[in-house]
Amino acid sequence: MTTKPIGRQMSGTAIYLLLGLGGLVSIAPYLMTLNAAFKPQSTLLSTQAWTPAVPATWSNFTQLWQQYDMSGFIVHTALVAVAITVGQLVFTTLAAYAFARLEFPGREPLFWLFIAMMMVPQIVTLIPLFLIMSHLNLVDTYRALILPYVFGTPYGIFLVRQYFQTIPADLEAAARIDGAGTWTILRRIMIPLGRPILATLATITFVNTWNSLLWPLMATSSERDEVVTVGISALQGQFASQLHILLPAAAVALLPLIVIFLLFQRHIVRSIALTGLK
Amino acid sequence: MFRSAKNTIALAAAIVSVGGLTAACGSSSGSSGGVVNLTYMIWDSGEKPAYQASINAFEKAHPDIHVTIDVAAWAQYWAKLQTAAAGRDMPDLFWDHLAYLPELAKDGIITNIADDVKSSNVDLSQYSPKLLAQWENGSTIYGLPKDWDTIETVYNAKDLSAAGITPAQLGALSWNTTDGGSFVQALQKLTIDQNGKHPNEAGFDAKHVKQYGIALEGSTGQQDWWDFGVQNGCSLQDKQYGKWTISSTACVQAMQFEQDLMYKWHVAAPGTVTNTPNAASLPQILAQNTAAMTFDGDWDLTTYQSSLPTGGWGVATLPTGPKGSGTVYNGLSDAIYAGTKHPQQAWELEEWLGSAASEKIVTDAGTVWAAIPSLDDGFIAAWKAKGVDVSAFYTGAQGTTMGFPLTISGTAFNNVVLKDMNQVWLDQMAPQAAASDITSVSNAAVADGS
Repeated sequence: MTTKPIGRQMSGTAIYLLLGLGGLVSIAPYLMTLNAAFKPQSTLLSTQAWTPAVPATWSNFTQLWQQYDMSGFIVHTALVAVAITVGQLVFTTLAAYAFARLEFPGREPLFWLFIAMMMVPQIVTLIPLFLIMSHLNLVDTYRALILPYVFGTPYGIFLVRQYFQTIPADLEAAARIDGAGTWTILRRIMIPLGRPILATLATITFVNTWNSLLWPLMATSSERDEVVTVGISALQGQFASQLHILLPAAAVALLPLIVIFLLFQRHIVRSIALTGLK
Repeated sequence: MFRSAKNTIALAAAIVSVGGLTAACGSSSGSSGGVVNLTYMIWDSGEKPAYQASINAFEKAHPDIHVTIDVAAWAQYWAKLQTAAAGRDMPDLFWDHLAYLPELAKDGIITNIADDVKSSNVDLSQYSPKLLAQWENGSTIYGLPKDWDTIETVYNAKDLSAAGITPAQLGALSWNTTDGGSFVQALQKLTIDQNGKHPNEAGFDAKHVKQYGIALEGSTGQQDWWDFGVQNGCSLQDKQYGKWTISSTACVQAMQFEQDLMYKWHVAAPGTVTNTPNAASLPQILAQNTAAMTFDGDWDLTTYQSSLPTGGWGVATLPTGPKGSGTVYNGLSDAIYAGTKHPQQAWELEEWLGSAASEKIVTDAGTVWAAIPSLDDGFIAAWKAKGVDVSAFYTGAQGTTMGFPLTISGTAFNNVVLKDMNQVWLDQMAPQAAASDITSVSNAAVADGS
């Protein structure tokens, strides 16, 4: 009788230990980055990554702002990320609603065709996309960064469509009886009820855009539209990396993402629970 | 009816907004208000300040040209360049490396500047002939030499004095394939296990070495076995753009010697410590005292300066091998995109960057050695002011040197050499087997490409 709860307790402890260990492994690189960002340049390479930064110094951060346009990088990235996120929210909502609820010929084939785009690796579309931007004379502009992603992605549309389908059709039918049109239904029923999934989409889009390196690297070539990932990657030379600038830059670039996650955390967790997607 | 009409309006609105977005975008171009914009792509953010200073001087003399420096790290540089090449939308000027020159030239992406050189009366004799020859092929010339680098010994001064070796003695060492020579003897003094024993003492524990005598690291061989190779009479190719000859005895002996340093003499850090691309960088290895010395290029000087105390490190010449002294000698140039919209202005920038005035700005800042030999004292003086004698690199450049191999099989060679040599440095492949494999794979790529 008494052995079972103890056994259960022990397995509970073991699970927590295991999870704790997993958590530690996941968070360790970030902590080491943060730690190393406060080390003076003279001890950065001569000590191990986990040796505490004593004495801690802000000089790397001041150098980062004096020698590099860090504020510029962050403003540029925020601009692009906000534009893409807002665009995706608007267009994805419209597309997902159409695919979930509106009846039109060829809806299903069109939807699956669209979803099939998820199978195409981004790297394959890189050169065609660059060619398009080059022909439109858009290389090295904000529009080159924003246009390819602002109208939604198959993944986002799939995510929101699946969620919209779980909203009872009866709600919509009742609204129609009360005289509501499609726009009213979208505005007053689907969007309020879809808030968790839209928050998830917003977070995923913002984080992906913030972190994306390959396309901004290819599409831009001057400091006036350089985003933070490109700015940081430029600090890694062929041989001599400027680690004392690179690490604080990476730490600073991480902060907005943490803020976003904390703000939307409740919605993200809820939407994962609701859709079973992640 | 009503609903579908609304949908149509929404759709139309969406189309109009998309059209508006794209239509508004057609205005950016290479020139505005009579000022031509050029893009100059480089891969080292550490060298940017010196080049920006040079560009500022250029813009002052050419108010009608504006130059943007675009820094893309080496890791992404060539991918970005190749994408831009596919899109026929490349930077007007960009740093070129000998490992990529042959393929760029073959694809017709870079400009042959021979005619411009002639019409602008550029004095080619001011450049180091060895450097200039690397960028010439018959009657073509693909860029004015902008700098050079050699590989020399960088040491930790404290470790050296603890072992009772002076920097002058370090530069006078020699090695051979039978007993290792005075080079191995010095490295034995510099190698210490956790009990304070040296590799030539009884009870030395090769599994727990506290400080290795040397750490050697290079993804192609430039900072390690190529240098032993040139000191042993090894040529990587039979001629420029020719066949690979790495499986020759002289080259295999050089690889074998380096492997012996690791596993026979136990004086060099093994591949588990130094295999690229994931190993700690050479300055890091020296700063953490994993090894007392290393072979490295002058491009890393700034990193040593910032991670070791002043006076805590120094530079000496490489050891001498069975066939004498020698080092790998390499340099970069600026390439002009063949499809640039502003060929005239791009040439003016090329001419400026290759001029003594511009190279002096960059060299006097201690950034890179100038391709114009008369300016090289400026580099030595810049480093002397920082308390470091870097003249060993200059000495190396004046002696026997091996250039970076010129081949259209660069991609194939880089892949196979990294894969096989990493096995050799882990003691999992014999040097002869690796050399044969590298030679046959690279020669097959040469045959395919021509």
